[in-house]
Amino acid sequence: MASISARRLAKELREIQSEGCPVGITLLEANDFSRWLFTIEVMGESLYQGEVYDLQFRFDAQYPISSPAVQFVVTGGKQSPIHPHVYSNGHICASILGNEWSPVLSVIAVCVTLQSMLASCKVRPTDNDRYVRNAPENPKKTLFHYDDDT
Amino acid sequence: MSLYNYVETPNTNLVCCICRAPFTDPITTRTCTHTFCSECILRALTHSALCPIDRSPLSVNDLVDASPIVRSLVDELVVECPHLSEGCSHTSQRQAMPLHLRDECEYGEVGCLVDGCTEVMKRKDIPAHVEKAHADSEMHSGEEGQEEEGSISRTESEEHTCPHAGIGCPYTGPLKASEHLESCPYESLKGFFVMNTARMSLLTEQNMLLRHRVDTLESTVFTLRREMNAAKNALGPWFRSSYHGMGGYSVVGSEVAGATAGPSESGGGVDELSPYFPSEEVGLRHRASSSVSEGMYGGIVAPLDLGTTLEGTLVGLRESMVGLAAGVDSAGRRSEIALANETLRLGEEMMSVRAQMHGLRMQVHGMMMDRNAALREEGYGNFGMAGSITKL
Ligand SMILES: [Zn+2]
Ligand SMILES: [Zn+2]
Ligand SMILES: [Zn+2]
Ligand SMILES: [Zn+2]
Ligand SMILES: [Zn+2]
Repeated sequence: MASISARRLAKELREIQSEGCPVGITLLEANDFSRWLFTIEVMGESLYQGEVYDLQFRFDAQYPISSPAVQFVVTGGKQSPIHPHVYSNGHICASILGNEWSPVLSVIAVCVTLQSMLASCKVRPTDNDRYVRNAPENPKKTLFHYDDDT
Repeated sequence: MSLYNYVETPNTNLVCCICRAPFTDPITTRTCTHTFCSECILRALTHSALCPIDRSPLSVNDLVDASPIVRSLVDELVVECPHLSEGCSHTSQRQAMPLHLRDECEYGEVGCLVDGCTEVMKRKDIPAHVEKAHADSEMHSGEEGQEEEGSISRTESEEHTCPHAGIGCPYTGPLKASEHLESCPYESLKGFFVMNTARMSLLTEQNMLLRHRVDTLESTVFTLRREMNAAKNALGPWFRSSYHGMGGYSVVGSEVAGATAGPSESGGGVDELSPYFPSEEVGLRHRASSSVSEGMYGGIVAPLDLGTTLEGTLVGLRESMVGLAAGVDSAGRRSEIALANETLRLGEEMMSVRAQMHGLRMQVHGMMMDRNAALREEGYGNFGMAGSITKL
């Protein structure tokens, strides 16, 4: 019997395949229900114009009750976008991936939120070096302090 | 969450936004009237006590059964038989599907109908199974199996199989079951197998129960871990897990170590109040006595001992408070006594000064009298003036 998370992800995948992704987001890889890859591009006039990033989702058996582990891919020549809430190791400090996650949200909803988050100033977080040195492999293990409303 | 596939795309109003499938056993929140599957919302609540849709506070007590209309709407949705991929194209209302699986579906899992047989298989496999495993016992145990299945045709072959084929006897041969049984090793173990099967099913049942409990416990552990983290954050440097031991926190620990090493070198007698402080264990001590460690750590010495638990520190603080209070009390009493003594002494001094003053005045008076007498001898003028001088 397929697990609850697998059935829910199968539904989301079917929706993505039948209705397509929103503009600027493409599904790169979804071979199983544990890891999906998207590309994400900020549309319109912005500092990130023309830059394409790879976004990785990892799901555990508790999805959608617990949030997916989301980060930018920084291997294979890829880089994470330069943004006050994105660390150079790809980890993202966004409250909807932590304490404001709701099972009502979906993979595409997360993509769209991150896409709109990127359209602001272009600097690394102030504590980037310290965080990256000690960061756990899975960004969900970090207790981020969400200092503002983004 | 529903395991069925729905024939038509269900109305979005009947879809649970957690599992994205039509509600199973729908539950509505009393506070914000949102509806979810009971399983989905209960699982979500173990994760966070908020409504997943509007994030308003929500607890299990706020959940009530959804209205009967919603229940019947989802129960009447038409679903496919879960065995569609194997070949059953049956469709029915969702509420009727369990009955189809139990009583009709060719691919439903059912137990063998022959007495004493505990095998479970797909319904369509039963005729073949009965023919193979129960060919001989059928003659003795009546025709129920045959009536039930209706399609069993007994083969007249000379090949007989053992009634215990189901539990592993590989015998096939010309001997009839009754003849073979005399030498069948499985016959003597019959009782054991029955017992074993019973025990197995008991264990399976227990296993299911335990698995359920593990699930529940896992979610409890998850909640506890979250709360633990919150508590850890709140406690800050006061938190120490039991296996850290003394000095487990590198920064704080070394400061404390420095502070406890300090006073023994600078020696006692510096501060009169120091005996009132329950010294080493409590650790609240005067700056002056830890000057050595101040030199080493740039003057920032934690005034409290972080080496004990928060409770221990509080107890220590309270003890030193009591000590301080006693100190202040005795100091007050001492100064009171000193003040009384001083007043007494001053009073005495005042008396003696007053006496001396009196003596002086008498002497001056005597001198004046002498002078007046001398003036009177010189002549009888200036009476008034002399009188005024005597009054001095
Ligand atoms: Zn609600
Ligand atoms: Zn649901
Ligand atoms: Zn069926
Ligand atoms: Zn049987
Ligand atoms: Zn046998």
